[in-house]
Amino acid sequence: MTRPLSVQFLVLVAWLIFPSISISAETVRIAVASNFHPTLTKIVQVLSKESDTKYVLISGSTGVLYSQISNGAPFDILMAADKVRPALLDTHGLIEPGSRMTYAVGRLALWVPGSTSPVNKSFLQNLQGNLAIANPEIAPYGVAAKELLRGIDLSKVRLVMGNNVGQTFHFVQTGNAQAGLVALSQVRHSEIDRRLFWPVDEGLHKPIEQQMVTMNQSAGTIEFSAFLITETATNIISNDGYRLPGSREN
Amino acid sequence: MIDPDLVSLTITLKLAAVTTFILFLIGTPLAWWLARTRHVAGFLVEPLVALPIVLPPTVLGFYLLILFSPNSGFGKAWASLTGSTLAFTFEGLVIGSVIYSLPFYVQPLQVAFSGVKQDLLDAAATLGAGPVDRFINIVAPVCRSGFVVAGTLAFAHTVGEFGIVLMIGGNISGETRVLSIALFDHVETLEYGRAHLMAAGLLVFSFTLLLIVYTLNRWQTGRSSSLGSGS
Repeated sequence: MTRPLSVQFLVLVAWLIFPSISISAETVRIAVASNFHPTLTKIVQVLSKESDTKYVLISGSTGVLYSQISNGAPFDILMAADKVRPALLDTHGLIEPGSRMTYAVGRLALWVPGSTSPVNKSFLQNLQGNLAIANPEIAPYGVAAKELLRGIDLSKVRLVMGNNVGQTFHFVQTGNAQAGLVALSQVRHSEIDRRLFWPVDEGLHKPIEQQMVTMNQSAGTIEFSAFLITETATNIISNDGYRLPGSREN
Repeated sequence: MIDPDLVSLTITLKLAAVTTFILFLIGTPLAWWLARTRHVAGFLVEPLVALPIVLPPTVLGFYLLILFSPNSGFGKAWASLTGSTLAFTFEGLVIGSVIYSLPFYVQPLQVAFSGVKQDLLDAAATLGAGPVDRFINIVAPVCRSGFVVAGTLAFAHTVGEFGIVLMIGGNISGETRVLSIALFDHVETLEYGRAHLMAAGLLVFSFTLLLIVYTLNRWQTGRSSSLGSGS
């Protein structure tokens, strides 16, 4: 006895052949700087519960994402780790006019996993061994780190550079660097013991303003931008160790 | 001041040269053993040597970083012997590159060694030639182009290394910032002019090396087949 092919089977075949066709209303692709990826994942999880829109996150370094967008990558939103690249996209007319805004201000943390005493500002003066920072040529957290270290005697320190703040964190986490200037959001996310890191005073470096831009005015893009300024979203952002753009420095 | 890209070029060539030399020392006996052995261990070692061809370099980089860490036994032993850690140093890159380029050296040489007739070696042995004598005076000349191909591929492959260096290098100018990393930095900092120069340079360089390798290969095949038909 032969059975006709079931509808489910045909749908499965169709989906395998045309995976990009989805039943949901709209897909919004968000290119996000890797340091903000964990936070954005939480935000999108909440948003997806109340929306039909499918949010796809593409994580990478801001520089690479910028190059990809300049070369026509089909992203709807860019959430950068700095304000330089969004401004450049603005100048080149690649974004929706007026969409550029700061969504979070990054904070730096000095992390010394092997420390036996509480880590604080005076720690910087007495550092020894490998100190990991993000590459200041590429990464905004590296620029801030470099500013913080200006005027500090680094003769006993060997500066090693991660390609981004994620890699910098990994250098310290594996023990290959004895200390690191990483993102406060990372040490919060990894639930590092409070005594082992020092949230760097924001006055000691220029603020790490993370800006976003949108490339179009689709319903999903608008929905996302609106959700990002709700209390739900801003609570997630500030709990992860970022300062909100409007709030006062502390 | 010296151009930082020139420093990267020097580091890259030095890394490739040191790596190729070390591979010559350890890869040659390994290739010979693999070509001759009937031992069961050969079945295990052969895929092990080939592993870097299929593994993403990030896998190697990830494990090497853990291995180099002072928290690991190896890292601790190295630190107590030399007083420094391996991550973010030229020595660390050499270890990574030797592993990464191992199959590119061993495999062509193994093929060349397999082609050496056992009769030839037996005859030499009957005439009183010792193993080292036989290797230097018979195997080495017969497999000369095999050595050139193996060395060239290992050298070129090390020059083309990116993923491992990105993970264990730490981007230190004059020590661990090789060309591929410098190129990546130029792209990220939007210095496309320099990136073009470097990318084109690497392209021409790699093509030239491969041209040499394949020309040698054709010449070798042509010669051995003509020898075969003549005998």
